Amino acid sequence: MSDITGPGEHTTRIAPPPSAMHERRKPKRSVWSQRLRDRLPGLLSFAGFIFLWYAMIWIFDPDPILFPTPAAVWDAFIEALQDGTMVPAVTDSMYAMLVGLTLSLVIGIPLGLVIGMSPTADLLTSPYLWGFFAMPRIALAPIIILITGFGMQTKVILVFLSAVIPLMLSCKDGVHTADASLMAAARSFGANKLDLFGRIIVPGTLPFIASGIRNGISRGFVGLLVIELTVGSGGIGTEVMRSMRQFDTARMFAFAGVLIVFAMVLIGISRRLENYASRWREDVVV
Amino acid sequence: MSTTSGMNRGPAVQARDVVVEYERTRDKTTLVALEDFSLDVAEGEFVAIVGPSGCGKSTFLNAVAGLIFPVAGEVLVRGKTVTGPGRDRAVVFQDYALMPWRTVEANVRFGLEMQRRVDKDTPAKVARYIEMVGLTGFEKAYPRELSGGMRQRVGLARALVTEPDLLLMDEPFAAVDAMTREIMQDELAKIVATTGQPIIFITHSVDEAITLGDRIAVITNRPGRIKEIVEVNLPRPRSRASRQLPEFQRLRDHVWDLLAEERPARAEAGLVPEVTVPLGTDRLDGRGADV
Repeated sequence: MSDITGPGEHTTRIAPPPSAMHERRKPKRSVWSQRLRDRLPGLLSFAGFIFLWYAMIWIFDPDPILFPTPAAVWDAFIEALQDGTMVPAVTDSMYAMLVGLTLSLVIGIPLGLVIGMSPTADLLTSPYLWGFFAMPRIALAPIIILITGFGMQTKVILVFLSAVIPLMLSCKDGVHTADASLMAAARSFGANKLDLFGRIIVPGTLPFIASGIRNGISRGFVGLLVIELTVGSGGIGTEVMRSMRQFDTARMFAFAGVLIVFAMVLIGISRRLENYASRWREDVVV
Repeated sequence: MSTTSGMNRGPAVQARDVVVEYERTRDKTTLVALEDFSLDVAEGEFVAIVGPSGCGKSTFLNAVAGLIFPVAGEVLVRGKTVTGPGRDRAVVFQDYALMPWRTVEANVRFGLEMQRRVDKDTPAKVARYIEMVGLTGFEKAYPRELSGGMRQRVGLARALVTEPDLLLMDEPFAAVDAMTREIMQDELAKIVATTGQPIIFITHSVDEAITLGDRIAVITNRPGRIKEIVEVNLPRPRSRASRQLPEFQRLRDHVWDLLAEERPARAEAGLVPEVTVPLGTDRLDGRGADV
């Protein structure tokens, strides 16, 4: 994860004159030693984490059933892989996330842009959007369960509902930041309304869309977990709950760890996306 | 593209008794930016417009560009009433108005794209104009990587590459430093000597107006009208040395005297501009226009 550029890192760099660009990379270290160097802080911190974990056990000496050692968690992880519970749980959660997010992108982005373009639509929808945004989507879980049952559908719907609202709000706000002088410049060259939308508003909104996607992912993830943890509809969260009920804390920690990795991957993807969409910006939105 | 209609003997631009009004967004009252504004620009002529802050200089330029419309009177470009932007005109903006997500090259190409004129010759043409403004080597740079002066060079290339028959420049060098400004004035004079189209050039620098202009239109306080048109009969090319000429100094004194009479009644120059919307346009067309 450490090779993800932090926000702002690429924005402070001044472009070298093009003639100097070829000489910049030298002297070249081997790719692998460079990678190791990049990852070293992350590896060290992980080692430190494991050490602290053992230290806690040594100091407080808890009941192994309540607080397992890292080795026990690792064993439980391998076991879950071998007995065929890990892979289906991960794919199940991933599937719900992917479908829910895709739906929210396909519906949320165009809808958000349109609402941003039309002051009337904005006035009509804003109270509902913000109301929805303020309300924990979890509160909707009971009624969704009532309608769609305990399966995949429910998870997808909650991921969708959780992700689509922040996404729409970001798109709408992005449209509102469209630069009046860019619009005037485009019009002076004869741009029609479609040009203004496609060439000025949408490109200018991309960083907002990207940060909307980031928000959507993190909110969608919460929505997913709520269903998985409470309803037992399958997926990583459900395995965490099942392990807990069986007092198999090592296994529970193993699944919780997978959950963390899962979340980190999602965040990594969305940060890359956001950095890419914002690469031309002078100021950085984190 | 009206190179042929440019052949007629009439002036390139005629503004006849133009009135432009804005609506103040705060209290919905009307603000008259231009009143009975009349000005002719001849073919090949460089007209510099100076006037107090908020006098409607930019408003006039936007009316010629076809970005806003007069409520009375009319603006004619080569005999035809302006009904909107057109390929025969190109604007260079004070704040550069470059797309930050486009590279230099892509920004220069932008006007051609909007005018649906991109073809196989476009890359060569774009390269030629990038060279003309001295930005060769920076084709792939983003605006954020450029200095103010370089950004305005991009703005100039973007306008010139469409080969307009009329160039409209709205305080193009107001935001660049003094040294860059002088260099850019020099280069602009050289470039327009080769391209030859008439230019309307808004500025608040009297020296810049005298250095570049064939004539200087001095505008009154708001509502803006022509106060006086001053002929500049200085030999070209004009350089920094020209500023030592007695004639230059006489013109400078004269224009300053005219401007001094138009000192804003209130201390408007220091105030934040009012937010206004040109009358008769919708949101997509003219938000937050500067009066």
